[in-house]
Amino acid sequence: MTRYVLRRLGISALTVLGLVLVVFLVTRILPGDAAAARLGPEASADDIAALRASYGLDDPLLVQLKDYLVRLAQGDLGQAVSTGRDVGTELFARLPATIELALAALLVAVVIGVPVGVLAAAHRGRTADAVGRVYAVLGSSMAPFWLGLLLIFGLFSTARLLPGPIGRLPVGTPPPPDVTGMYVLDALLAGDPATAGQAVRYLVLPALTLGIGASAAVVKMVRSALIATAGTGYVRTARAFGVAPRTVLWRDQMRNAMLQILTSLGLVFSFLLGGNVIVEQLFSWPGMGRLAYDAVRANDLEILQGYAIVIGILYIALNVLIDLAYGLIDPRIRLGGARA
Amino acid sequence: MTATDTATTTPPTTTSPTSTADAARARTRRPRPFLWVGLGILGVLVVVGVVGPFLVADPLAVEPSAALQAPSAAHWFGTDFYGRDVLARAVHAIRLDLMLGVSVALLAMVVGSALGVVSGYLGGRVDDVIMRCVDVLMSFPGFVLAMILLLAIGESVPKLALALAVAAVPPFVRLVRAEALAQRELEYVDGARVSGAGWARIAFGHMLPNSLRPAAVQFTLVCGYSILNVAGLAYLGIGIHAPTPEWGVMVAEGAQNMLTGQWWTAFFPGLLIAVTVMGLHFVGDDLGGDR
Amino acid sequence: MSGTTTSPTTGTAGTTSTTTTAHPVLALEGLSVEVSRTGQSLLRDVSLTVAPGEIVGLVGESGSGKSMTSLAVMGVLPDGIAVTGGRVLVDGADATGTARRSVAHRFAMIFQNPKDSLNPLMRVGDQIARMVRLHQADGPGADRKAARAEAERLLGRVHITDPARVARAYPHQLSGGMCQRVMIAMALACRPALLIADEPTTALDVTVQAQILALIAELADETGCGVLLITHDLGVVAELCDRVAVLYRGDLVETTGVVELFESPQHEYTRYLVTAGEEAGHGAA
Repeated sequence: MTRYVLRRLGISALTVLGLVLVVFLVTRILPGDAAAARLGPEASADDIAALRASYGLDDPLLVQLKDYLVRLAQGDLGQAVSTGRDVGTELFARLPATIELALAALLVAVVIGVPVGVLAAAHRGRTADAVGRVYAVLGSSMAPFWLGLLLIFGLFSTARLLPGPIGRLPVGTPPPPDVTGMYVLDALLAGDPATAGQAVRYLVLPALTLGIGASAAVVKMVRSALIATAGTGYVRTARAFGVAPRTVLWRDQMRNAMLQILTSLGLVFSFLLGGNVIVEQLFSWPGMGRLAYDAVRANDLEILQGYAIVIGILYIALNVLIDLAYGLIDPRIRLGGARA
Repeated sequence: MTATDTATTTPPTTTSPTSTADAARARTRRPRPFLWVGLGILGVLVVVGVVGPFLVADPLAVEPSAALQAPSAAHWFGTDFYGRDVLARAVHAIRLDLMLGVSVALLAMVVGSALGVVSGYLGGRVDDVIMRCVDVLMSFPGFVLAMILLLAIGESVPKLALALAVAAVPPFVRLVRAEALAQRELEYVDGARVSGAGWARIAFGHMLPNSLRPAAVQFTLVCGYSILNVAGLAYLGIGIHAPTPEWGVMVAEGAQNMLTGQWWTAFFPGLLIAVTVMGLHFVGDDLGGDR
Repeated sequence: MSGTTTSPTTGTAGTTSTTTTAHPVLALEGLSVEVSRTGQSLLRDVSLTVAPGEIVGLVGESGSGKSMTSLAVMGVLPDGIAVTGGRVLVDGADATGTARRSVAHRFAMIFQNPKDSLNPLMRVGDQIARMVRLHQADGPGADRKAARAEAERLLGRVHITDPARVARAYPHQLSGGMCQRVMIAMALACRPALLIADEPTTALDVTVQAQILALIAELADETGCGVLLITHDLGVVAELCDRVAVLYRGDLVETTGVVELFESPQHEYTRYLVTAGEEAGHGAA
């Protein structure tokens, strides 16, 4: 088990390094001059030269790389060109909003995806299965910005059931005292159910937009994970020994499929964290994705590379956590092959 | 020595692994609604994409007096803020979006499959290096990677295709590599080796053709996701810009109208995205088998 | 070599089984099974009885319908495959349409690959206890603790030396032979009237094979449960069975006592099996 953990951590460290390298290469040496890109088309040659010098872009590549790594190791993600603010500080200030949205979307995806996937697998080849498969295709075919607009049109513009796309709380409502940065949680911790309720209302539409797309992926993988267990010997044994089909499905198939489902859910969550630029833009949600969008508008590569590195590291860390959880759940990994 | 009895222990129609011949027979016998619906959608889209532009109005013709008209006999999909015909713009966009989707998937498949075969066949250090690179690429969402690439290398339609293709390469590498590893074990490779064929001929002549089927499934998926990504980037104002008739651009232009009640400007282009991607994913779902 | 299939010769079966006076645990009367969609016939007019305490062998090649017979008996035919004719009698009562026959009538089954047949994520003791709770709800199964104790007792019953320790193990920590013992303990938890053993020793080492076969014989003797032993190995049949039924491509071609099988095989296919078995036996020895 210890060796398994160490190995996993080693590979992840290597991947993080590779990630930093890719970001570095993309933003420093690709043909389009990064400095020119930063300053936009109207910049003069002198401006560009000055910026190149100030960012050390004229140094030899290896020196640049060394400086870059040293800065990163100190947690310094650089200064935003457009606003002059510290990129790391900006990103981390916005992390909770992104996490709150991603968690809510994951909840939506699981609440819809798991039952539909289980039903489809349990009724494989029959109507429920066809419905599940069609849902999976439909859910993964809708562009999130379109789905979001439809939801806004239906539930805000027309029905007036939910608030419009103006962020996390109504204008004028002070955010709850900062503990986790997630408004719903913070408001509850502060004993302020009214604000918590508001925060939930503002969360619903973006979470649905992001979550419905993800639920399609959840349906697909729950279904296939369960189907993969259906042909196994232990399921045959349980059936032959008279265990009720429903119990076999939940106790035997689901439990074994859980390993795979958990891995996939981690993947889904990491995509919810990183794949939400569009949804955060659409709903004016002040998270990291929204910052990345603003950076694109302002041509600010400095922010974008910080964003990419943070998203990448979150993704890698999440996968390590899931693999470790996997090890805890699966006795074949936890206990190794040692004979009892 | 004696043939074991697994084939009869688990009868043919259970979910247990059956022989490929059985599976193939079952597949040909069963009706395949997903495949036909998907191909039908794609067929109609291709025809409309090719013929349509000659039949509809000018997608760029601005007509302020006819702004924001609801769908009618004259304007089936209504008109947008500038009085342009939404149907004309949506139809003109088919070619651009489909072409981009296909070229991204094609590019990613060719590069990814080649890397996958090389990785799976050569193994060793080459394999390690390639797979670590794949890990790194997979640790970004493709959308974010494409966003950064485009900002760094500048925007144009070919560069857009290139940026999205880079992000779509890893799954092809993994898939074809796994296939190549499996087939490396098979006898005919040994046969080819004995006859003195070079590794490149074995890899590209024997293994690649056998890896094509799973790659085809991935192709339809990547094609669909690429169309979503192209539109998504365009929606954010990256890659393709207004006033080009492109679905993402159109939805972005119509977003404000959606809030004020003129739903059609954003609804129809978004619907076309969904229908197109759906067509591709239906085909992929069928080709991918029941799993 | 392969003889033309003839009508089943059920008449010859009577000679050795007339000793049992009570109802047979299991009787198949003209059972036919087909693939529903295509009408492809998998079993035709199969008749067979198993008396309490009796071990009946069911032999035939791969694809002859042995395993389909066992699934039909257990009432767990896969979707799309159905009984189209004949009856399944349990203790003399018709149970053809009974759902979940295995619970109602205490049938149990063990399989060829014992390791794959156990849930990899459950401790084997828990897996046995689960069957105790399911099938002995009026006895030790009424209570979680008692069920666990019963599971350990059953592990002892199948000659596992350290039941408490093995009960806590996961299948991957046990050898194939041990897993098969666990499966037999699970079967015992059902207090089976009938045990179906589907190639129970094929995947095991030769020495372990003998132990498992001896265990099955011992338990059939002690508990009086009938055993339907499915195998392609006539050596196993000779060692263990009282009677043998021979399946050939979905038809029951011969049912006879073990001694008669080897001394005077009636059907051409049986003769082929016996000679092939002898050759293989000589080769192995």
